[in-house]
Amino acid sequence: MDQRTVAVADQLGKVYGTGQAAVTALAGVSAQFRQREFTAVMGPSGSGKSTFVHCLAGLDTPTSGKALIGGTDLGSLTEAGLTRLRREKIGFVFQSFNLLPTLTAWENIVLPLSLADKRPDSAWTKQVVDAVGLADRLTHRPSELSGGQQQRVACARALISRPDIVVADEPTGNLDSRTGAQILGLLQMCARHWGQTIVMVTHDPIAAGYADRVLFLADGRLVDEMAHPTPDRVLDRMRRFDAQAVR
Amino acid sequence: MLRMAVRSILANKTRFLLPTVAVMLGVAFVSGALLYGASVQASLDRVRPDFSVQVSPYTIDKPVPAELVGELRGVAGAGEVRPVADGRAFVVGKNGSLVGPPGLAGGVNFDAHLELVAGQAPKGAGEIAVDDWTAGRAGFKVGDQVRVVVDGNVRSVRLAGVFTVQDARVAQGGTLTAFDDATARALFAKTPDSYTAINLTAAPGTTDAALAANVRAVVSKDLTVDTAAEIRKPGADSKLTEILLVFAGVALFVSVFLVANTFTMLSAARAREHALLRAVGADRRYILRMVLAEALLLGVVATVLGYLLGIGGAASLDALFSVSDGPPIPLQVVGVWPVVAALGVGIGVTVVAAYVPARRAAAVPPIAALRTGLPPSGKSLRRRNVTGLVVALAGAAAVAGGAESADLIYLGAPLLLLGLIILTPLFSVWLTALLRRPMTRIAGVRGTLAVENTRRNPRRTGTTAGALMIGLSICAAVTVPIASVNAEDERRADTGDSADIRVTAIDFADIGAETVGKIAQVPGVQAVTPLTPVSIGVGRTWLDAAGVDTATIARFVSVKVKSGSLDGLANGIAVSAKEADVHKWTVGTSVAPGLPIVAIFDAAEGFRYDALVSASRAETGRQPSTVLVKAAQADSVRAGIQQALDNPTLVVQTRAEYIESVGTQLDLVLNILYALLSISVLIGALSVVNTMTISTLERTREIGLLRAVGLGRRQVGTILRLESVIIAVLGAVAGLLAGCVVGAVAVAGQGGIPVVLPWGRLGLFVVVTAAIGILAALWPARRAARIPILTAIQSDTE
Ligand SMILES: Nc1ncnc2c1ncn2[C@@H]1O[C@H](COP(=O)(O)OP(=O)(O)OP(=O)(O)O)[C@@H](O)[C@H]1O
Ligand SMILES: [Mg+2]
Repeated sequence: MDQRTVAVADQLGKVYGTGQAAVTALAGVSAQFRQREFTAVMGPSGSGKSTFVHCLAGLDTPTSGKALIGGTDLGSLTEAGLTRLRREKIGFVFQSFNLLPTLTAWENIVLPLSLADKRPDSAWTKQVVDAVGLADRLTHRPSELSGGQQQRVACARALISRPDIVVADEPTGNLDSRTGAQILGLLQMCARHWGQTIVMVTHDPIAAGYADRVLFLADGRLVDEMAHPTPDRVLDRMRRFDAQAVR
Repeated sequence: MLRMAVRSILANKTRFLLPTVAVMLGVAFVSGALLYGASVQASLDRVRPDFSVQVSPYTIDKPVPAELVGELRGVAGAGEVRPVADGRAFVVGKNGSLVGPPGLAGGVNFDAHLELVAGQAPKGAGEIAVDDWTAGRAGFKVGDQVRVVVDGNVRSVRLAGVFTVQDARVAQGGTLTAFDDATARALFAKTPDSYTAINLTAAPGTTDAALAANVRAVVSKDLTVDTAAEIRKPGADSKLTEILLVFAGVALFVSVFLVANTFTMLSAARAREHALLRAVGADRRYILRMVLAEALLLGVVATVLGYLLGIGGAASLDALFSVSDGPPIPLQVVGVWPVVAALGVGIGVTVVAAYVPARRAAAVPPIAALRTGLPPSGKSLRRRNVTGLVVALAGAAAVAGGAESADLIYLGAPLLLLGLIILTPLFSVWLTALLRRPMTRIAGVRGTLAVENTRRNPRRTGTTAGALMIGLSICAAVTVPIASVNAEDERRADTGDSADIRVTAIDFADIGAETVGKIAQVPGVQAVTPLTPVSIGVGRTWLDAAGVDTATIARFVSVKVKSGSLDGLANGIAVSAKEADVHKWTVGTSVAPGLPIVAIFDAAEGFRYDALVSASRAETGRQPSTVLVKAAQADSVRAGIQQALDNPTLVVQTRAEYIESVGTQLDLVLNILYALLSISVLIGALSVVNTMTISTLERTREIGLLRAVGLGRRQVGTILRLESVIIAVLGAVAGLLAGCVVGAVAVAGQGGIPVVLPWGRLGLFVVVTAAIGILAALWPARRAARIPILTAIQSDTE
């Protein structure tokens, strides 16, 4: 199977502040993300996971190295170019506050298209809406939806523009395990059946078990990579981190 | 507590900036008006009457005989006895226009109390002296030929001297022209051997009252004797101050909204902070006092700044309104009353406006500290809507009653406005419900977001729009009557005559006796007649007759002669059919001794005299109110007449010009009102800026999210602009509607004048408010667009 590379992190580095107060959040992380690949990013708190995915997705600018999406170097883009890239090539799911409270679920889902003044492709839209299972809730406002439903709306929004890559930063962090499982199953399905590339930050070994591979970050560095993870192996790997950290 | 308030204000500088500016503007308005008024009054108080007792006629048509002067010199206790002949004399500047305001142009006989500073006392009819301020500003030098207008006639005279004087007219920017005694008497007194008044000073040891009693014993009953204290001191024209204060009140009222809105928004943002304080043991009173302390501090800062601005305002008022171009008025910088008023108003407005939000803040339960997510949504609007509806209906009923009794309008208009202000949240809900679809169609999801944002908090939107509404409703409420009156005037400008050119005098001036003769000489003039009001006593009533040139009048007044003929008018009178009916007159009846009716006519509509007689029947000294001219080439002849008269106190207008000037007479008033209201509208605009700034702060995270999913920086601005335009236009429409209703009822109450709605101006107001909306979003949009996406998403706003 041809697995085209859709996103590349090339020696991504990020330093906050200068001089004495400088904090190195990322110290040169390189990785490639291929089509239909579901990648989990793990690591202790403060290891730079969020910073990594934010830089990869053009929400933050790295202080060294570069990020490429669909062959485009994000650093070469203007503000308008970046905005367009975010709209068309990248889908986001955050941990919380994913939706605009004033818009209905449907309006939230098609927001990236509306912002580009595009009409939704009805076949694809139906497919996405059916997949997230919210067909009967589309006219509701976020305040009338449960946390899990809100996250599903957010996922649908991330998928609606058929982006090159979907970036999710702890999408199940605020959910109970059953609701979280629905979201994770949804993401896995998108990758397996629709060929969607997904990068997901998580703390949960069970969540990581849904992914095709796991990247482990520590102190801003890529310290390990695991293919075909299972929750047990991930947990095991993380125990070793903790042991190292204690030592 | 105060330290905490200071810290809180410093931490929320952006949020407190605009309310401070608003209150500051209001305070500046109040203190500026009061300081200016006090300064003018002080400068007038400095002009002390230079006499102890004045003898003057009871009615202006009686002379003060000259021989009385000698008699009075002999009265016990009389010091100096000074006869006065004064009246109106206009000074024409080198550029051909009047020097000083026409209402304050005085003429007087020269005597020793005018202190010469250059040249000599005027001698003979060909010389004058003027006050030094007038000479200075007009650029006159001793020896110059100067033109003055007295009794409507222009005379060219030599400036013999310049004097200095303490005179109320001069202090207010008027002019004082002195003639020699005989000339002044000839010009101003009833008869050449009389004066208009005699001033006496009391000899040392005699009181004013004693002298007055002594004088009363010798003068005739036609004359009144008053002490200086009894003669009303010239009061400064307090009208300007009063008007300014009214508009300052409006501006302050608008500020209340801005301040209240700020504290409400701030309380919402700090609800958790307050709840935490409550949770650790602070009681309600503590929170209330904390918020009020902030308000107090804000009020003090705004008052101090406003007072300083008010001093600047008062200093420039003189120039701004060209109230007077008199000698510079020394500006009073502190006055007890202005300081007290500024403090009371500045601090009062702020604390009162902050009270309700402060109480609401204090009511936050401690448990709210533990709540996450959205703050509790506002209370239902039902109670507010019912209250608003009741108040608005009561107001509307009173306004409607105003059509019968005008006084009710003063009660009804504010009530109606208040009711509508209470109802603005409801209007905002309605309007935005209507707007959602069209806005979405026009601006896509950006339109939807803009509309939804204004719907989020109808109270806030309502209060913001309410601030704009007040200024605009008053704009409409004054514009409608003035437009109606102007339109009516224009319609009535048809004065029932067919003159091509009309000559009239400006206020306070007269058309001189020579005028008609001079006009007749101008080439191209076909016929001239004066219209001199003549009152003819008929039994116990009076007949308003026009004194005219009997030979030419038939060419000017398109009267339908019903019986008789105008040919014999020189020796008789023509009366209107209406009067003839009332008195049962026929041709030949003598209306008064030696005044037989020669004709009975039906006057054209608009001709406001009941009868026509020869101008020679007018009492001596009675001036024409208008001179009518017939000419084929009206425009060139008008220029010719202007040149021939060369008198800046006379207005020469062609028929078209006259009609136009009548239709725009009140425009100046309207423009001044607009200028005064602009401060209130400005504060209303600031209120929109304020709300937009605070709402965007609250929505930082949402804006971040939007940007993350692909909203461009500029589009952030589009959404905010649409939002603020919606709020502004909501205020404009509600305000203009209310104002038009009040204005229309006021017009209807006057009876007879049809209501004219000035659509052009109303449309302009809406456009201006829309522009205000766009401008108001400028700064908030810039700020919002500049925040980096990640910072925005991670911020802890709602
Ligand atoms: N804006 C910032 N300014 C300074 N330092 C920052 C900033 N953002 C992050 N950091 C630092 O960079 C490092 C990496 O942060 P990051 O948010 O990427 O960690 P993370 O792995 O996502 O942690 P968590 O699991 O808690 O979300 C941390 O040490 C953090 O303190
Ligand atoms: Mg993180």
